Amino acid sequence: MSSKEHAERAAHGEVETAHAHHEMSFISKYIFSMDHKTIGIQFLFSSLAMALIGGTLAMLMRQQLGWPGTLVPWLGSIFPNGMPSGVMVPEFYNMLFTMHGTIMIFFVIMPLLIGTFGNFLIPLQIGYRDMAFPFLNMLSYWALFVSAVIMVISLFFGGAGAGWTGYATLSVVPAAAPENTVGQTLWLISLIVFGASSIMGSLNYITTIINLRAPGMSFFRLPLSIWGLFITAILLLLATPVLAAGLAMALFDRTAGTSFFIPGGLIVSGNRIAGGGGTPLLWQHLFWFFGHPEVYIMILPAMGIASEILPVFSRKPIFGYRAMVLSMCAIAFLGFIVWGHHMFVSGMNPFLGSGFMIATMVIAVPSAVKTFNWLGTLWGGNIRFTPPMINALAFVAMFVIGGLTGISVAALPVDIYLHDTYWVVGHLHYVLFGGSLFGGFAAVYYWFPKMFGRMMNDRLGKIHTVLTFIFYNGFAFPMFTLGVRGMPRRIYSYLDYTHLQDLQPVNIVISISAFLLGLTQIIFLFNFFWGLFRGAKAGSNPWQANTLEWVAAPSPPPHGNYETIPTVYHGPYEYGVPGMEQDWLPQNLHMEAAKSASGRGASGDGKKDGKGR
Amino acid sequence: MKGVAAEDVVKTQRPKEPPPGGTRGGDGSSGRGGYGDARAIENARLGLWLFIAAAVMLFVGLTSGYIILRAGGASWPPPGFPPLPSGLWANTIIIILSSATMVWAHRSINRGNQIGLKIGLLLTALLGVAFLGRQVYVWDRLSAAGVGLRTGVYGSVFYVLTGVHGAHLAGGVIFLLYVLWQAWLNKYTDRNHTGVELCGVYWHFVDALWVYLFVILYLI
Repeated sequence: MSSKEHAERAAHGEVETAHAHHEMSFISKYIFSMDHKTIGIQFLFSSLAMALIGGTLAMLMRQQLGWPGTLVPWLGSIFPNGMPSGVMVPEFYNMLFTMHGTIMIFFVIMPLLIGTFGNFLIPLQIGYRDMAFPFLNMLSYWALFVSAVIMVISLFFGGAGAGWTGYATLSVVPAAAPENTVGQTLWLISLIVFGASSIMGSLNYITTIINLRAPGMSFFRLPLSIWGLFITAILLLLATPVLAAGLAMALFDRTAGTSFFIPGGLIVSGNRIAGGGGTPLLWQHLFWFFGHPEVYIMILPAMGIASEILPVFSRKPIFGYRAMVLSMCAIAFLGFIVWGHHMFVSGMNPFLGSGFMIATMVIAVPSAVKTFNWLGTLWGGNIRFTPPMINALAFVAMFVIGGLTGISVAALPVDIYLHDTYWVVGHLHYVLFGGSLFGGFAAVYYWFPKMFGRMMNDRLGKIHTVLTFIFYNGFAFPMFTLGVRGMPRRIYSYLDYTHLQDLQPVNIVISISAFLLGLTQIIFLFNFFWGLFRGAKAGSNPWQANTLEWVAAPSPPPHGNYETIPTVYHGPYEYGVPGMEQDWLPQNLHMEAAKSASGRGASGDGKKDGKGR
Repeated sequence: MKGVAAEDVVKTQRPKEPPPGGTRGGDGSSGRGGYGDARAIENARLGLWLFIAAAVMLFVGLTSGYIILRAGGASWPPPGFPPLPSGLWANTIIIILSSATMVWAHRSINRGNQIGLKIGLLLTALLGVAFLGRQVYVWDRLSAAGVGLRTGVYGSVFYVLTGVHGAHLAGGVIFLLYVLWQAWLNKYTDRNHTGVELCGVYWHFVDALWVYLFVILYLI
């Protein structure tokens, strides 16, 4: 609209105002945009930038763990405080794993899966022009931006060092970690702002999905990606405020002298801490009441994305649509009553622990329903091995490993042995990298053409995916060995313990795999930016998919998305319908109309994709 | 942040575009819901209820913390600390009165009574400000009695719980002033006054929240 205005003004000779007007329109179009697609792309670029920081922190950690105490002079010149004369100090290591976890969870996975694809897909896939509250949507992005900036600033003040879980009392008594005095406070503030962003975003998603669906788009015709995001938004809306409550208490403890999490008579470095009467266990309850739903907040969108991509590239309907939806609901509900399984060895009542153990193991049932449905979707399908498909397949495989290793630590007796070891680190990386991030890669490869109107390179995409899969398993799988051998997580130098000294070769394998994994992502970034400017033009429906964003809008969709709001006639996974010339049936096309149009109708200029057959 | 969110809810309540014509909906098998059909609930109302759900969870977190801390102590108040000031009774009465004036404002506009609406909103906002002032006075009395933020968990829970509630109530006062301003411009009619209704919903929510806090902090 603004460019049209601009053209009109220029035609009327208002040359002197044209330049200023142009600048303003750039800001309102790309910076303070209220268009859901632009906001989604802002989330995407933010999460990519933060991924570079989070990944670098991981590399530094692996350098220390692979070769503890080795002199690396060039790193010493970059981090004069953290690695004086090239050898890492323990406090710097604590900062690395804390900030790596925090950044990857809150500023990479959540903005990527929920921020980017929630914003981009919800209005497009339900068939509406924008979100219910566009202004709130913009605020949600800028709140995330501010919180990310605060988090990055905290890196320059020593960062936080109490782990991504920020356990009290280490996180609430400044004297307990003097090198993190400012950094830990900024960490708390950043996450409170992040919580505000999440609440604004989730409120918007829920309202939009309930109220703004296109005519005919009933709940059980929604694409599963929307179902995943819908349930995620409900979890976010209900879980984030509890984290905010905990963070606010922790911030008051830290800065205002309250004592929610500080027990009476606590002595730190020889000084008695004033006040008291609180309990550190309260922080664990509040944190994990948020923290366990958070796990599903990060995996449910990826499950939805995989459920969306597998049928498209198997050319088959999804197996068990309603079972998929109901199992997601079950996972979300159960996710709220299992937080205690993070606290088995915290001194909690053992009877309570048994209850949490049983509830946790029940989650395996809906998870298995989903896994078998994905396999059922693939069974007998006409599979096309495109980059999004390979990533979605990797997601399914890795999620299974992540889930099974989770069940072993859900068992209370096993957890007493495995808790706080590298087993847990391996498990969470299988869920969050193997699950969430492969889902994220799949989504970027799949929706990139719709976002930017160009294709990413197919061959580079495949190379990147296969190498990522290999190196990722190379770094995450050996962690299970370390865990069973008893190597604790968050340990600066395991070589100080005689029973762990022979684990150095395994750690070197992990470190080298991690470095190669990091290098592999350069292929992805190159492909991404190359595709952005030089990629082949994408048609409106390059994957021959059924959902509204592909069949009723051009790539990229204009402001307002649709010329006319589409009408929906059936579910989103009608592939290989008998008696039709084309093997897909767009959601906005009535079956009889599609038959009479004999395959050339509303599906647009779908680029024929013959690859991988 | 609270006030901004509430204002935005009001601003976005207008429908974005006229609904598509009645011929839409296609064959008889088209699903229920969706834009073409009458919405069960407006965006702004749904958004407000979702926001209230989030605020409820915030106070669930805070007050469950309080309950755990209180149950963990041998006695409450802890030895050496005075009980909470009885001035909290007056605050509770003020806030219940403000709910009544809010109901009065809403019923007035239902009958098209613009004067009643304005007076009702103004009284509600004044009672809200009076409540906040009284809360600060109670804080002052309590800290004079030796219960401070830094004196242990007893003061911590009281100041933080009432403070966070006060922030939500202050957001409600801003919401009220915005609605009052709109009422001053005669923007509301007996048929069309969603802003007043939503403001009322939020105001009753923060009032009920205070009554809950009063019960668990003072009465029990």
